[in-house]
Amino acid sequence: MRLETNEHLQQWENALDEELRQLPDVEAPETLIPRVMAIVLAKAKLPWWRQTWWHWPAPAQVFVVLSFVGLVIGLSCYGPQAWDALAGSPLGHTVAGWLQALTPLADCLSALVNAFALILRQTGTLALILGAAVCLALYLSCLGLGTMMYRVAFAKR
Amino acid sequence: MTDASQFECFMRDYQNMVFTTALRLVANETDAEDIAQEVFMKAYEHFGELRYSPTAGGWLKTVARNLSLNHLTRYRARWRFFSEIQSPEQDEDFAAELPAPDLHQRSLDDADRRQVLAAALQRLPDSQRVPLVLFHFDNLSYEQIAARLKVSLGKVKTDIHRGREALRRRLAVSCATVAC
Repeated sequence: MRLETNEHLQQWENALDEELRQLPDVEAPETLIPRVMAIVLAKAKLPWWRQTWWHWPAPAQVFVVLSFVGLVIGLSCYGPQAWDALAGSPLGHTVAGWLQALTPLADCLSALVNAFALILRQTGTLALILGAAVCLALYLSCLGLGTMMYRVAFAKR
Repeated sequence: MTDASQFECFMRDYQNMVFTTALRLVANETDAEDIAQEVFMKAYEHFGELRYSPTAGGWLKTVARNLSLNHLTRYRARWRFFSEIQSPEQDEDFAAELPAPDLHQRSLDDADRRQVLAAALQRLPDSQRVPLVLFHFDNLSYEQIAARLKVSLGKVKTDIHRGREALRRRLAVSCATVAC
């Protein structure tokens, strides 16, 4: 009896397999080809230097590779000497001048960070924990609401 | 014939296969179309090699399968906790009493039977549909499916068995409805 059941089940599975394999392909939406072709044509209109490296002309690819290799070799062999030379040169002084211009911005950021640290110290640990709990609760609410909307929108009927 | 028009012909030849591969895995037409678009964009990148390749169909199918599985992992994992809580099937108690339908019986004609089967397949939860599709349509072994989905061999076997059972029940309900 058990053997018969297993045999029947096996037969049904084989029939199901056969039937599934015979399912015809579903017709692709008519919008698929226009969508892809629009992107393909838009990409084709881009100048070569705005396309991916693989689509660059061969001489440009070779030039970029050689330049990169040369740069790496040059930096590894002559990097420290070049840095020393740059620091003492007029160009080095110019760069230091540019960086000097960023000092007010750095001061401003530093003041903001200090103010934030002061607030944290004043409010204490409990307030921090409460704040974190509120943030977590808001995050979970968003997640739950999003999930509910997802299930309503994409429910399998 | 320009590259673009050749590529358009190439797409016409394979678009149904690519779309169907994605649709069977993700069970959502909009997602399947997005995946098919991504597959053909990748194909365009390699069109030089694919154009005359006899294995272009296999390449496209593999890319469609991988992108579909990636899509399921990326977009469904975050909802799994909520969305895979199954609603009780209204018809299961009734269907459990029914014998396995004879797929070769003619109570439904071929087209109707296939339509019912395809719809039943789409309605399976991801955890059952995906291994079932990989097994029956992509000829992957249980071990290959387990490795691809990063789950245990036992889970793959159980999910495929449950998927077949669910299909059996749904087909039984359809056959019973038609017989009435």
